[in-house]
Amino acid sequence: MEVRVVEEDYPDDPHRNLAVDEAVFREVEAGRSPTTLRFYRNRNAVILGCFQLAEEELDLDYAAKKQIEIAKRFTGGGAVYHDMGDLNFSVISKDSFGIGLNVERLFKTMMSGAVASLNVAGVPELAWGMNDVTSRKKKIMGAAATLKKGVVLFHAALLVNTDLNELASVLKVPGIKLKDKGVQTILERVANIKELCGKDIEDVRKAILDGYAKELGFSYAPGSLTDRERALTDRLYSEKYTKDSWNRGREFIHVEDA
Amino acid sequence: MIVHSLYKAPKGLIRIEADLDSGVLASVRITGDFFMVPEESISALERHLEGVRLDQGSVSKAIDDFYSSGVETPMLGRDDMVKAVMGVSSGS
Repeated sequence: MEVRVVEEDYPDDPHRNLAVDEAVFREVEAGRSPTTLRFYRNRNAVILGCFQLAEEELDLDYAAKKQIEIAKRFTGGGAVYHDMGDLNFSVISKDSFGIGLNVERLFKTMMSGAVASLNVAGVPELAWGMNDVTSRKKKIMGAAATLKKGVVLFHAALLVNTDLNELASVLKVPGIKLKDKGVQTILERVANIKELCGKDIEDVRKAILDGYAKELGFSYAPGSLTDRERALTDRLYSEKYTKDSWNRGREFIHVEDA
Repeated sequence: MIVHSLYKAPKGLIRIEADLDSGVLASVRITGDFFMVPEESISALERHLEGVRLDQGSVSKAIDDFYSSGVETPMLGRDDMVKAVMGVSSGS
């Protein structure tokens, strides 16, 4: 299957990066955009899952002091910290892997591509759950996904060379969750791919292309966003992704198609 | 009376804040790091729980009704959702 690869990103505007994911997903769902693999990074941001409340997940004072942006994605799951040492990718696809309307199967299928990629990169001792991957028992990747009318979106954050002290300082992970993972602090739970196997952002980016080609038969064509995707991104950006009620509250905002 | 619960399911953390008025739930808010598809169903779930008496039978029935609409919460069972809601009574 031919997949459009989109490299455009907005490292200083995490809200726009997230608006692009939803815009592409909706345009693929409408049948106007092709299956897409997107890479993007954010310079300094916490990204919340759509069911989370900012005040519960991060140290707001610390974020303000360190100018860490707060943004919310349109998928569930937990908060992540992004800096330029974290590589994110999104796969937005018309269902063609027998996923149907089954969200667990969606995770399994898309995670298989991610795990294949990390194998290609040579990350040692991999293990994975529904939406995370560990190497030597430390988390290196977290993923989230959604599905609508058979169109899937899977996006993941990979710790390649992130400032883990900053990550641990800004995120508040409840004791009950750490205990469940058998650790006492966030720092014990996460690791960078660079430290584990020496690979940098560019190596990992290539490994993702290879891994999905191998596992799901992707072949690639470089592309850019369509005019419709850009227009929808702009509207989602101003009407949803930059709103405090979305980023800091737990309000759901639906932006109609133009 | 504002009540809270924090429930750790095998996959996902659910936090509930609700107003409990003479044993009946009002203004429920559910947050956490779980997945729910379609996502906007969370508002329907919250509204669905409002006016429900906080006992095992009534809460289970409300949750079952909600799931019958075809909502998916991967790796999170409806029993987990019931336990999370019932947690507000024990103050956990």
